[in-house]
Amino acid sequence: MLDSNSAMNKILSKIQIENLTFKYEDEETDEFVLKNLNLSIEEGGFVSVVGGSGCGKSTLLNLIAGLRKITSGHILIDGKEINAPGIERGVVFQDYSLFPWMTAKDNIVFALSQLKNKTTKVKMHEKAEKYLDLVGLANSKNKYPLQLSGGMQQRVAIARAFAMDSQILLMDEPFSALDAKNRMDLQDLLLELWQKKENGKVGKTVFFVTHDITEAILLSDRVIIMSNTEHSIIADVPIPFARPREHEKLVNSEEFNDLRDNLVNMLYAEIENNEVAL
Amino acid sequence: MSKQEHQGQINYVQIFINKGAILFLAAFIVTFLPVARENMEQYEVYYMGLLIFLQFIFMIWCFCVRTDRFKLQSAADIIMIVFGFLLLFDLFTTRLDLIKKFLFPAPGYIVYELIQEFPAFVTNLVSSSQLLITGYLLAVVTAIPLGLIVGWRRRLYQVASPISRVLAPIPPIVYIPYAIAIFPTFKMSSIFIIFIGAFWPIFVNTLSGTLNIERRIIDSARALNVSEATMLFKVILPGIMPSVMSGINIGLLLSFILLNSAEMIGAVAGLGWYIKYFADFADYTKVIVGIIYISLVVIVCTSLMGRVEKYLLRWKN
Ligand SMILES: Nc1ncnc2c1ncn2[C@@H]1O[C@H](COP(=O)(O)OP(=O)(O)O)[C@@H](O)[C@H]1O
Ligand SMILES: [Mg+2]
Repeated sequence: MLDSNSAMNKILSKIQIENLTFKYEDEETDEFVLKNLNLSIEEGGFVSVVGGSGCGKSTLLNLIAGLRKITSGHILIDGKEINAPGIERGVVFQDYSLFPWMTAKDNIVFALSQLKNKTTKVKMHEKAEKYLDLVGLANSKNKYPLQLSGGMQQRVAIARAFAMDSQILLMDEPFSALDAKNRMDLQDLLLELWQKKENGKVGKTVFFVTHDITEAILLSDRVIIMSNTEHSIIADVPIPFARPREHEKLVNSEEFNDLRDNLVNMLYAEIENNEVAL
Repeated sequence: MSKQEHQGQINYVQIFINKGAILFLAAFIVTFLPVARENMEQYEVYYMGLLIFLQFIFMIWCFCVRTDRFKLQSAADIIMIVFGFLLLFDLFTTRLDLIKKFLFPAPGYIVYELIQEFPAFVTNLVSSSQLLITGYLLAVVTAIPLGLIVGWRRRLYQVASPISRVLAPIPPIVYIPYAIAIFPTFKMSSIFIIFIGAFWPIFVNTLSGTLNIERRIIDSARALNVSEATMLFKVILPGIMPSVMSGINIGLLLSFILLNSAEMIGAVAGLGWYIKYFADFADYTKVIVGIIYISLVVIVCTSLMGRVEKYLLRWKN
């Protein structure tokens, strides 16, 4: 594993997953959720993961976040094995876990105040307000999460992750509870933030879980399909469209639709396969 | 809008004409009946003053809740019971003198003593609250951090859980005689007893809250890289505040019970001592006065605590 070849590889990839196997300890079955999964994401890459529900997408994301101990294998970030969460990874959870006792703004300020290079209180408040404004929630900044709809909570969680400005963004179905208009705006915002490269640095690396194949193609460099039966990745499809991408033009193009049909077929074949197996 | 105005008008009338007001008038009219119990004429004015005072408070309250039909209704129901009770009590004591004088003093005389004894009450309150506040605060500032840490650290939990299961259910009242013997001063022993009494409910509630906190809250805090102290005091503590507050409320009530019990056993000052002292002299008017003052203190404390709780849990609809 540590031969010169793979060492080279590691330097090139931001996230490197080798032979990852995982099983929930509290589960009674011997069934693995993930088995011998390999994945490498280059720095600045945008990778989406799709797959049937229960195939382990959220589990994989939580493992990369460092929230659970892997059963065997390796997850390397910048070539270093991880065993805990790190500031270089920002997470948007599937259930958009805000702290219910903090207002929308305080949730963001709290997150910012945990950063190593934290600034003054005033600056953090300004930043929190700026990002709430970007996700269209300027008027709800002093509301508590329980006073917000699911979609609004989700947007606060997204604003929090964006405001933290970490090198790696791990997002678990972040736009699932949003209406079409908000979703499009936030997709654009995400791409804008992802593409922003400051003083020659490479941009953010994004690991994006979604159940919406159109969204996956629109946003990503690569779309990965995970399988319920294999407990691993069954396809890794590069998305060739040039950037910046134009939503409508792209969605109506023939190439886009071909690619999407292709992916949908792969996914359905896998899901049907799974149902037969059951 | 018009509906609201309409409702407001109805309630406005209700403030003055309702069951409560009718009973107030009845009780007031009864005071014009001749006095049967001797030497009680001079206290009539105190009783009438009480009736007017209560009716006044009732009307102010009704005015404050005038938009809420249900609150208005229950206020009228409560004041009706109060006036009804006073009316009967006055009838059986002052007017008819049917029950024992030294056990059931006339209401006017109780009010008179209540006013007379106010300075004594303040002195004893000061003495009691010193003990209560010290013991209770000591319990709050130790039980909460300990509950958090024990709940958070698996190994500590495995040690502390059997210990607390043995110790927590012991009714703290049984410690009183022993504590009074062990500690050099009564002050120290009663502080200790109040501390023990308040400690367990707060500790146990904090602990169970910490053990049962939602995993996603912990995960989202961990994903933000919080430090251990931040995790305990800025994430878990506010997250389990509902559970902590119920421990804090139970602890407060227990503290009161223990404080008064301890004072009845070994003190030379304090609210509990006051009652015990006059009971020994069979001065039951002062005993009643003491009971009334203690319940007022409890009401004030619990409603203040209710305010604090409401503020701390304002994020929960
Ligand atoms: N906390 C957990 N404990 C035990 N099993 C879990 C837990 N979370 C998820 N699982 C199981 O792991 C599998 C993958 O779940 P998940 O990663 O949430 O799938 P996805 O996000 O792709 O829908 C499912 O079979 C699910 O039941
Ligand atoms: Mg999921």
